Amino acid sequence: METKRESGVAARTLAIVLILVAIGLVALAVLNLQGLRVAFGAMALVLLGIAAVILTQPNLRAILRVAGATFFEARRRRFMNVVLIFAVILIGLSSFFATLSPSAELNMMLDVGLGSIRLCGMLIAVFLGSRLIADEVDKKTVDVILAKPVRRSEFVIGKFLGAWVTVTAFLLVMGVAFFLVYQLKAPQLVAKAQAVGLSLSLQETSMNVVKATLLILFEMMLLSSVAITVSTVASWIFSAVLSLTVYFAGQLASYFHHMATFSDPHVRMESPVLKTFSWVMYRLIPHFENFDIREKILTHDPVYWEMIGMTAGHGVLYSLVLVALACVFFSYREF
Amino acid sequence: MGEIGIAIRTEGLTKVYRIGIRGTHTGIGNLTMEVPEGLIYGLVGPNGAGKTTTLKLLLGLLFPTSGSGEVLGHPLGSAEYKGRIGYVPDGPYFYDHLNAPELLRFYGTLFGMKGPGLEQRIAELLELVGMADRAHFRVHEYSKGMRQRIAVAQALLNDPDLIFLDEPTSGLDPMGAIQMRNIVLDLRSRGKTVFLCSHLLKDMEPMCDRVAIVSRGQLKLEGSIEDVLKVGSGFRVRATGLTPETRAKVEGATTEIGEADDDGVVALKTADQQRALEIAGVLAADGARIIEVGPDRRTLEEVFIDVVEGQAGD
Repeated sequence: METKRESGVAARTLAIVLILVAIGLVALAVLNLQGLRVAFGAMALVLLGIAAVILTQPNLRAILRVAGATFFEARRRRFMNVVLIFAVILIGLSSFFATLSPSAELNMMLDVGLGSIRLCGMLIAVFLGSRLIADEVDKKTVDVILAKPVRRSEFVIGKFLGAWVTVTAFLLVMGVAFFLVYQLKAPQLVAKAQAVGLSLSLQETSMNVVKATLLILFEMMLLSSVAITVSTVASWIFSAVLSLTVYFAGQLASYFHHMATFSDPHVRMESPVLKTFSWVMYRLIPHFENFDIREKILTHDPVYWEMIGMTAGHGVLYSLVLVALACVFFSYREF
Repeated sequence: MGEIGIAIRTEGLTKVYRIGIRGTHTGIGNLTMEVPEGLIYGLVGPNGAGKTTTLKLLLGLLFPTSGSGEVLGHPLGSAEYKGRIGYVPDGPYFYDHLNAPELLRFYGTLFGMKGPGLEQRIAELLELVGMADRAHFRVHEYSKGMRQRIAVAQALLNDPDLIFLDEPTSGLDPMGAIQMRNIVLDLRSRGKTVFLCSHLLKDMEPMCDRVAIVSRGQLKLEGSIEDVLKVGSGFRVRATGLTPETRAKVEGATTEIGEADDDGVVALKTADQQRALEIAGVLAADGARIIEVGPDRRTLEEVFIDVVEGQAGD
C-alpha cells in the first residue's frame, strides 16, 4: 500500500516537472528563439501529453477499441464509399488529357489527380468527422459506452484515432490509385517533354507526388479534427458547415496575413477592425493553404522535405490542440 | 451477520433542464434515497416522471444541478464504479454492423476482459438471453426484443454488483418477459443489487423488494413493497358474479364492499382470515367465482394511481 502511494507521488512529481519544462518551452516558442517556434511548441506539447498520460493513466485498450469500432463502422458508410469510387474515377480520367503538349499533359494529370484526392479527402474528412460523435449521441450508443469504465476523454481520443485511421486508409487507396495511373503515363510524358528540350526528372516528379499526397493526408487529419471538435458541442450539420468554412478560410491565410500587416500611407482604407479581424483569423485558423503544394510541383519549384516536415508538424500540433479542446468540451456534454 | 451496505445514496439530487432562453423544467427535484445492497429496487412513475433522468444522473450521463450522490461508494459519474455496474437502456441501440459476439467482445474489452475468459463469458450470456442460435445476426437485423436481449447480455458481461435496467421488459414477448424476470431474480439470489425503472407495474410488483414512486420530478412514496402495498391488517375476498342477494347475505360480515371494476371483480374486505374464508364459502355456494382470498393488499397499480393523482404520499 505504502509502495503504491510512493509510486503515485513520484509519478505526480514527474508530471509536474514535465509541465514546468513544457511551460518553459512554450515561452521559447512564443519568443520564437532561433526561429524554432514549431519545434519548441511540438516538444512542449509532447511533454504535456506525457504528463497528461501520467496523471490520468488512460485506459489504452478502451481507446484502441473505440478507435477500432469507429474505423470499422466508418468503412461501411455508403457516402464514404461513393466518394471513394468518385475519386478513383476522377483519378483515372486524369490520364486522358492527351491532346495537350507533353508538359501540359503531365501538369494536367498531376493537377487533376492530386486535386481529386484533395477534394474527395476533404469531403470524407468533413462529413466523417462531423458525424462520428453526433451519430453516437443521436443513436444513444454513447450512453452504453460511457456507462462502462471508459472516460469521456478516452472515448473522444478513440474517436479521433478512428477518424485519422479511416481518413488515412481512404487517402491511401486514392493515393495508390493515382500513383498507378501516374506510373503508367508519366514515363512517356516525361520522355516526350525531355525530347522537346524540357528539363523534367521522373524521379523528382514522382517524389513530389509522394510529398503532396503526404501533405494532403496531414491536411485531412487536421480537417477531420476540426470537424470532430466542433461536433462535440454542435449538431453535425453545423459542424460540417463550420469545418468547410474554416477550411476555405484556411486557404486564405496569407491573404489574412497581408490584410493584418498591410500598411500604406497612400491608401486610406486602413480599418483597425478589419486589421484586427484579419490578425485573429490568421493566428486562429489552421493554414490549410500551406498543405497544397501543387503550384510548386507544376511550376517545377523545389519541394524540400523540411517544408513538408514543418507543415505536417503544424497539422499535427493543431490536431493535438483540437483533441485536447474536444476532450474538455465533451466532458461538459450531457446525454 | 454483516451490515447491509448501501449501493446507491442520493442527497437532494436535482436536475433542472433549460428550455429555450428563460424556461426551465425540473427533471427530478430534491431526490433523497438510499438503495440497500442485494435488493431489487424499483423506480416507478408515469412517462416523463423523472425515472430516466434519475438513472442518467446515477450513471454520470447527466450532471446534477444541485445535490449529490454516490454509487457503490463513489461520487456520481466517477469511472471507479463503472467497472462494477451494468446498464440496460430503454430502447437500446448498438453498432449496426456487428453481430452479437462481436458486440459483446467490443463491450467486454472496455471492461478490460480478453482471451478465452471473455469468449466463454460471451457464450454463457448468449445462452442465458436465448440468443445463442441467432448469434450470427447483425444488429441491424435484430427485432426490438432481440436488441433488448443483447442489451441484457452486455450489461451482465462484467458480472456487475449493481445493474440498472430501464424498462427492461419493453419490447419482449411474454416468454422473454418471464426470462427477464428470472434473470433479475437470479441476480438478487446471487447478492447483486438491481435498480429497475419501469412504468409496467404488473412486471415490477412481483419482483421488487423496495419501490419508489416518482411523479412530475418528485419522489412521492418510497418503502418496502410490503409497506407500500399494505393497507391494514385485514383480509379481502375478490370475486365476480355477485348477485344483489349474495351481496346482502355477506354484507354484515364485511367491513367494506367495493364497486365492481371493469372486469366485474368486487373486493370484499373483512377483519380476519376466518371471516374471509366464510364469506368466500357463501359466495361460492351462491355461484360467484372466487378470484382471490388473502391479506388486504393493494396492487402496485392501485397505489401508483393514488399517488400520481395526489391522494397519497403528499
